[in-house]
Amino acid sequence: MNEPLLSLVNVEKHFTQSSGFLRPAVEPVRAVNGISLMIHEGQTTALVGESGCGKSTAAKLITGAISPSAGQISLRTRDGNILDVDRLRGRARKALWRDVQLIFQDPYSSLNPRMTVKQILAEPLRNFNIARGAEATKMVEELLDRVGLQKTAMNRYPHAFSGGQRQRIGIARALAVQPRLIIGDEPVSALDVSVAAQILNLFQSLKQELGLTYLLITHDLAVVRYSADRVAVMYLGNIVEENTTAELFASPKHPYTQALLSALPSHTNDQKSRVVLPGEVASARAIPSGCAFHPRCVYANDLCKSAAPILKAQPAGGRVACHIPLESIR
Amino acid sequence: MANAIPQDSETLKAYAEASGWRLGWAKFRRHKLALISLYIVVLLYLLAIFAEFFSPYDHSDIHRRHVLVPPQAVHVFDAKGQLTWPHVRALKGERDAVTRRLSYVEDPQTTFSVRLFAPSDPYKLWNILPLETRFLGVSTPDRKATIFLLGTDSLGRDVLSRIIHGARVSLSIGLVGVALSFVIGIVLGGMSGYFGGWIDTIVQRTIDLLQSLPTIPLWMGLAAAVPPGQDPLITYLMITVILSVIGWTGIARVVRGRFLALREEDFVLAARFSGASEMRIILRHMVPSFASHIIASLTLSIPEMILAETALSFLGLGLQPPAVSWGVLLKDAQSLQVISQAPWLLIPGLAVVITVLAFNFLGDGMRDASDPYGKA
Amino acid sequence: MKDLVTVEDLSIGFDLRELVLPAVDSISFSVGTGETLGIVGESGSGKSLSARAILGLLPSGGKTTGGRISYQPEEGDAITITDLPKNGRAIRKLRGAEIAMIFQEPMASLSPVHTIGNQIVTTLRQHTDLNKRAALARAIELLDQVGMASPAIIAEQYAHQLSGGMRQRAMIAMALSCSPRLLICDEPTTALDATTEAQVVDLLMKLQQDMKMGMIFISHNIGLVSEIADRVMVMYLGQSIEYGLAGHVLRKPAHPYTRALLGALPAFAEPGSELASLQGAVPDLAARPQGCTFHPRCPEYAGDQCKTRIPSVHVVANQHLARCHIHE
Repeated sequence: MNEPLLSLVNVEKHFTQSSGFLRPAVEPVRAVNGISLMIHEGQTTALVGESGCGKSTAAKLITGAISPSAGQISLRTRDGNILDVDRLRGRARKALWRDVQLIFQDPYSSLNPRMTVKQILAEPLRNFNIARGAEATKMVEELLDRVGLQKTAMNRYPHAFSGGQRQRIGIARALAVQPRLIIGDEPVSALDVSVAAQILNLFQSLKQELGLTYLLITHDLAVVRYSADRVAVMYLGNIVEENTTAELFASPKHPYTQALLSALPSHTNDQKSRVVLPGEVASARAIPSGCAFHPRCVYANDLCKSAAPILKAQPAGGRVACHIPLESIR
Repeated sequence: MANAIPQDSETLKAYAEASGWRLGWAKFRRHKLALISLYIVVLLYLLAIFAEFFSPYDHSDIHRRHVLVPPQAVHVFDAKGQLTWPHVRALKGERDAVTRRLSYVEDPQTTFSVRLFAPSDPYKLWNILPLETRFLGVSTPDRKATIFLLGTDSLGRDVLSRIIHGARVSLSIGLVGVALSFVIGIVLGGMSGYFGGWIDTIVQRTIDLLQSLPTIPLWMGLAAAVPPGQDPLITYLMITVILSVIGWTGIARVVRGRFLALREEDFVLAARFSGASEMRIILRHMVPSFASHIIASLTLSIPEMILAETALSFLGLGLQPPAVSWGVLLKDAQSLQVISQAPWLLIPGLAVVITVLAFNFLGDGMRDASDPYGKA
Repeated sequence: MKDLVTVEDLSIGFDLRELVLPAVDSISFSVGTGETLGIVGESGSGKSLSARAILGLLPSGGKTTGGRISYQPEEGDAITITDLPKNGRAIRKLRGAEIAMIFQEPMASLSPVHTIGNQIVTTLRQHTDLNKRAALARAIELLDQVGMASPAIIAEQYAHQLSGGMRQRAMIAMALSCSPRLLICDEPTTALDATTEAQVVDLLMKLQQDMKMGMIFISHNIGLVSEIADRVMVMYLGQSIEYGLAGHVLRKPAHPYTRALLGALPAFAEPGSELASLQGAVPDLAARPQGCTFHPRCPEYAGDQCKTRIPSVHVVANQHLARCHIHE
């Protein structure tokens, strides 16, 4: 396979709170604990997990909004250079945002209520010296058309649009710089079912037309199965399983993945067996020893309690971080 | 429940293309009390700006024959009970045989018509424009013809004219003081909110300290430093500076709060991803979002300034006669004797109350309108 | 089997001074003992309002504008809830004791300044004559029943000390404290993660079987509802547009909206295929379309009658109703 567009190697992010006068030292929040992931051009990769698993922190690291505590993040730019995302600070990050753009979860807070749609969309065109004046107006029209909005939307303010339409405006803004990687941070979870379907369809067609690469951050496995090519499952700051979507949904190898998948509704069997996990997700300040999942895992043995499994490539493809992957049990 | 979105295409277009200011104005207009207050405030400032024209007399005109005249009535019925043009009646001073106190009785036979745009002794508007007409007056140059709608003080000066002239100082001190506080507040509050860290700590602790000082003793101390016998203009400026020393802290807190809240907004992060520089993020994306909040809180701090000036002058620490302000006027009404014999000297207090209430209602309305995107 | 709650032609509106904005439009349903009714709809469909009306808990400005709700107590005659004075003694006696409700956001219904145990004790002592000690013992028993690992410790804790899933369990324990005969669940798992959702759904189903409760389960997630409910009512803009056994509605949806909802679910779609999306968004209540309220978005639009005439309810199969012109 060719060079990945984006690669993460042992990326960690720990949030520490400085201790001081009247402020006792607390354990750092270990949000991301050494994840490695490659994203290939033209593919949709999904990062799934429940709240607190570190997937949103991972997205922030990739967009350069925060910098990692350790590890490397590198991006292959449009002119073939390698950009060390983890070392970028301040204005230098502008180069990253030419290639990587984010689509926000909340379509209401992500658009400035005091700017017209045209002003919002012209902002990246101006700041990246792509176009100004009449040329910018023309490009804004094209962007609106691309995301399925009418030209008349240009002079309107965000308050005149519904949640789905606002999300389209957010997508148009991300597309303005012609990025190569688009990160969607729960892009449809704030929308009604019928509207979410419109946005997922739009993602699909944009991918085909523009050859975009997506990284989808979500908790919704249905969305993942529908739109992703590859999936990485996160639990407490680690990737526990990674595989092609078809393989992962057909035969999950990590017990956590299995439990997640069983929560998916399906047409075929209405009395299906939900795997109900015991207990609660541990806090990211106090991650259990050994395999972080062992207190909730029905298959756990002594090894799981003491030694952390590493993410290993499997003979049948994919990578799993488990001492006793599911196939060997069955 | 969401705002009902208008349906027909014309209003829909207007609604969709309405800027934040337009939506805010539409929301403000629904706030009846605030709208009335806006008219009152505008009226008060017009009176203050054209004080010479609107007041029937000059504020320092002394009418020696008319000392402590109670408010004079405007009559619309003549002595025979016939409806006539509004008029005032001549006053005759009478001394009580026992107490020797002077009191005034109206002479229903000698009447003077009240006129708008009445001719008067020549005077100068703003000390430049010579005029011989006043808004309100009596029609003859007869010495007996007087119109003291709110009475006169112990030197025979018209109280209404003095209130109108006093409005100049009292109303402008609010604006100037707030402008000064605003400059300090927005710079320090903005730095505190945007940079955070130790800058934030220093600014916030300074605010804590200033706000914990008891204001009256602080003012007294500062006012004592103002050399007496100065040009009233200098005293006036010094007083404004003294008021702003405390005044900026509230505004700085508001600015800092808005900065902190907006910094976390997704659209600010989105602007950063759109390649906007930090300066552009502040000026283009953040400031327009809180400008209306700031204007609203500025409006709410104007009455505080007005009250503070009144308090200072009332205590004799602010402006001194012959300068007139509402506080100076109220100082004349300090003794019980005055209150029992000439209660109309308290009327400047009513002017203060009306102004402060109007500003408060106006500020409330503006605060509600400053976020036109919230739930209805 | 006698129905616990019967709702007939219920309409709810919002009083906006100038006009009454209709939010729920003449809906009917009933729930029996041990039965689960699922109510599905997108935002603005009126699904929560309909359920809240049963408890007399409409938000301010909301009022019932027509129809009736009656409740059949264990003994005696049926009570017409819609006739009871708002927040009067009679309705308060039903609330909590006979009919209980759990919400999407447990923090909103748990007190932040009282311990979990204390709150359950208060509810218990309001509706029963248990003494303080017995009530506390019962509270711990209830917390155990909802699957709390160490109920005695949880009883001492405050809501903010618990995780989302545990808060939801605590709220369920509180709702169950007086062994209600009907439990209304308003999006109880929407704010929860997938595995926690699985735990809570599992718990609710088990409790329902043990306690023989009637249950109304409100959700925007048609997949989840179909799994839990015996019967399903699909709502759109305040109207019930399809009503039937869960299996029927899910396998053979009779209304274009239900079909579209199912088609729009990525869970049921072939990867990479186009999702059957609906045009536009749910209109504002104030701008309810003429005729069939769904016609501007309907993929199976059947001509002028949809625009002009409100469709009537048609029986499409045994116990399966749909409000659409295509079944005429």
